Amino acid sequence: MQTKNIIEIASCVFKYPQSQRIILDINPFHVRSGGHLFLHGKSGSGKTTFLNILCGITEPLQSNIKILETDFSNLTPSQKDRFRADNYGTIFQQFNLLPYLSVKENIALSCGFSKQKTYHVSDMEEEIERLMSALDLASSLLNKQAMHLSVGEQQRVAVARALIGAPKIIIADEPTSALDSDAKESFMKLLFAQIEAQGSTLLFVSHDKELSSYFETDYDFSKFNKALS
Amino acid sequence: MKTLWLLTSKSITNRRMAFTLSIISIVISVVLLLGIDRITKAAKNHFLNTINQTDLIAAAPEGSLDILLNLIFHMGDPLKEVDYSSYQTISKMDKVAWAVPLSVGDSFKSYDAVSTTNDYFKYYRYASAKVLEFSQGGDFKDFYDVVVGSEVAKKLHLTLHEIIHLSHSSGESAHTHANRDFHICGILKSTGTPNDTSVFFQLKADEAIHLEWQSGHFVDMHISSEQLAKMNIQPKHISGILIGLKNRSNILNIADKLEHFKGENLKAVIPAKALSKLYVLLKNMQEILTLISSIVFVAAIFGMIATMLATLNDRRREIAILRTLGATVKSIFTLFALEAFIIVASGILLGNVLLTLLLILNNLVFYTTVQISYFPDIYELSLLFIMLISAIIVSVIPALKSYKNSLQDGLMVKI
Ligand SMILES: Nc1ncnc2c1ncn2[C@@H]1O[C@H](COP(=O)(O)OP(=O)(O)O)[C@@H](O)[C@H]1O
Ligand SMILES: [Mg+2]
Repeated sequence: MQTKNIIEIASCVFKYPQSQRIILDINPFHVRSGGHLFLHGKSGSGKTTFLNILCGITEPLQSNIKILETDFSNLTPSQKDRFRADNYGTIFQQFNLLPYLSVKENIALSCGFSKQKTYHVSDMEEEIERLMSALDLASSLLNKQAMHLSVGEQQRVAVARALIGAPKIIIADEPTSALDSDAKESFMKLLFAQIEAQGSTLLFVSHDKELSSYFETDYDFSKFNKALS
Repeated sequence: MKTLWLLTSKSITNRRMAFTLSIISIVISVVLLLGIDRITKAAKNHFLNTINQTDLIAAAPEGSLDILLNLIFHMGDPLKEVDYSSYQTISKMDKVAWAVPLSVGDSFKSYDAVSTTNDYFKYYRYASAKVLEFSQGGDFKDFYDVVVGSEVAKKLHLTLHEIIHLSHSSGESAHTHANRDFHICGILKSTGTPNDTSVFFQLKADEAIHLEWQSGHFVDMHISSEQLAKMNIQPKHISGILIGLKNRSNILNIADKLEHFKGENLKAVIPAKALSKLYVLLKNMQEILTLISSIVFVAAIFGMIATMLATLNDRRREIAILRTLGATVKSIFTLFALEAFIIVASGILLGNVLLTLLLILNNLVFYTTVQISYFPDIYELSLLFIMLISAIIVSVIPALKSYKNSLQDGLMVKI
């Protein structure tokens, strides 16, 4: 059973309500458990929109998507919210954190919306400290307000928040684009180490082709998305 | 829910400027709304509780409210005088149980001096048939005795047997009868009526000391106070008469009789009826003021919502982050409802505290016989509750807008 499919997409079509143009028309594909997926494509190709659909924030025009053996396409919006809270950890390009909360509160916030994640964390304080040190974050940052952190630190705190409670799927939307190349490399190493450690599956999206070296499988999003060709 | 509380409180602290201003406008409207309610209620109570069990008041023809205000509340323009003989005749009428003559218009310092007889202390009733009681001393024994109200004694630190000097007339035209010593024979207990701010002396003493006043000027007659007292001067004029009947069902009958009184033109006022007129006036005023303060409150709520809407753009990222973490539509709406709740609830709390402080301060600085309650009653509490609920309901507006934004924004806010 170790080759269980995490994500199975038969079809997914999307256009923004105000426009005529179909932005997404995804070819069928699936992601196996632990088979981290790297999607690269140029800016404006619809990567973020696609992730929004997989998260259940954006409703597609038509879709047939199974995630974690759940018929995701047929969930109601509030079921999708719940599903997202329980099963996903998310990292964006920038501005991941609530500026007025402390680092600790930002990380714990993830569990505030999910009983399942909370259930996986036996000792919140301890787990946060463990993740902080694993991600090379000084423990002196714990009670600092997020707005006073450097961009690199913010991105790593975002990783800690995505990882806490061991969600099965980690979604990352250009998480390295705001980092310089040194910070980028250490960020990718730390991210992979932790994801491997807790057995999550990573869905990583970027315009930066260089990053494909970290992945076994990479897809060109423009081939993946029929709407672009 | 714990998460939402944390988020709301931290988010609010992050926007404390707008938040504080919203609270201040709620505080102002609460103070206004409750203050007006409190004051008009107290005024109504005060007026209704000041005189009780006096069936009729007889005075020179004037509006019934003028007569009531002048004789009982010592307010307004002076009345024309009534002949003392009318009092004597009325008090001997068959159906009349008692009659008390009153003469108002003189003063002691800034307080009212009323001349009457001991019957005043015997028959005057206020609130629910309460009798005037003395905290020290008792009623008039000697010619120059004076009874002082509780507040007069307190404010001027007067004690029993102390000598005071009354003044002819009041206000700027007052002139002190410095040559006539009055002795305090009694101090009344506090009543919450104009009696607290009055001093009382005997009608015959009033007439005697006014012998030296002729056509508005002081004329020294070089008579000692003892001699003057022994001259047995009869009162000639009074301001009005309080009347109690043996049988209340005769009120209209006697009132009619008084208005066709032989020898003199009189007006008979039924205090209960005059008071109800006053009540209607006060009620109308209260309604208008309540309307105005309700409008102020509605404006404050919309101000709060406008502020929430204005800060919405700054909060797009915040809401987008919460949505990706799994915040449901319900959580977003709860977030805004909590914020509205915190603003209005603290506004209500602070408003109440401020109002109570203002009322206490007012009571320390100015004494009024009107007793204003420091705490909200059931009506006010339900008003506050409605305020709170309506604020929470109206918070749906920014919540809806914010939710729509979050659908647009998805994971990434492009600003
Ligand atoms: N809210 C929106 N309304 C209309 N069009 C949008 C909206 N957001 C993005 N788009 C368009 O959809 C396309 C895909 O955008 P996006 O998914 O952000 O691409 P990527 O993440 O690959 O850069 C772009 O052409 C963009 O202009
Ligand atoms: Mg993008």
